Amino acid sequence: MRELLGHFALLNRASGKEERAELYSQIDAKNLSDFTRYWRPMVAERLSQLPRGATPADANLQDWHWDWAQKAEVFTGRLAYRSFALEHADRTQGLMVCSLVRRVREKSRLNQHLVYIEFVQTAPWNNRHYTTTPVYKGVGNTMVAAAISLSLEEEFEGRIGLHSLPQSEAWYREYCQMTDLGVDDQYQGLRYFEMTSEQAARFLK
Amino acid sequence: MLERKTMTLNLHESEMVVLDTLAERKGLSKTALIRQALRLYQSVEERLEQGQKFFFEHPLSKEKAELIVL
Repeated sequence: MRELLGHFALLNRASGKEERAELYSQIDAKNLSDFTRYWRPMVAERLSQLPRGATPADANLQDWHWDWAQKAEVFTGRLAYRSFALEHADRTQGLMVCSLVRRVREKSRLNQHLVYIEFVQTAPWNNRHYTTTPVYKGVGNTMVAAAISLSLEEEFEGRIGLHSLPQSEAWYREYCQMTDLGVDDQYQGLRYFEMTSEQAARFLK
Repeated sequence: MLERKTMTLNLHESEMVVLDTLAERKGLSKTALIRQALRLYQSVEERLEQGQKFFFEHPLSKEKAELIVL
């Protein structure tokens, strides 16, 4: 059942002021409707602006094809997954789905449980790869904090892991201070990152 | 935190020993371990119902051993 988990601050880049967003424990029909009505047209418009011959990856739009309605069909009703939606100003500002059945690869806690972020995405109007004037800052930060909180709640000590798209690697490495465990040949050649319990505690401070 | 419901679980001594051992090894409470087991059970069961097989692969030899789920 969908539940309000709390309020989190997003920075309105235009006004420079913080605004309160609501984090919900489950992606619902309204979020999927927002994705179809507001996210997709903006993604399509951005793709149409690409120079002839350029690929979405060239413009760091590696998540352009993500279909949250399709993803919801996979994770809904399955205990192994937990989804989150961040809402503000009557719009879905970010979406995330996590898995609870993956294991740690980092050797100090090898094989212990962690929260694995399967997919996390901010609305295209907040993403500088889709617009030159992103609206809100802080969606990614809120979602990573939510994944850590879930990990603590499940007694995984704050450990999280994820495969990063190339466009986001620096953010996870430098801002989140996650450990870069290198390219995963078994997962589309994406780099795999983990956050230890100590790194998670530092992130939440 | 999502709403939780409470139940009483009756286990044999041998089952309790395994539960205690696994909980200790994974750094989880017994409740957290059973919740984790339920997630895994549902995942495996769904795949088996779809006709899929469940394998373990040796990291070096790549030899696969099918887990027979009764």
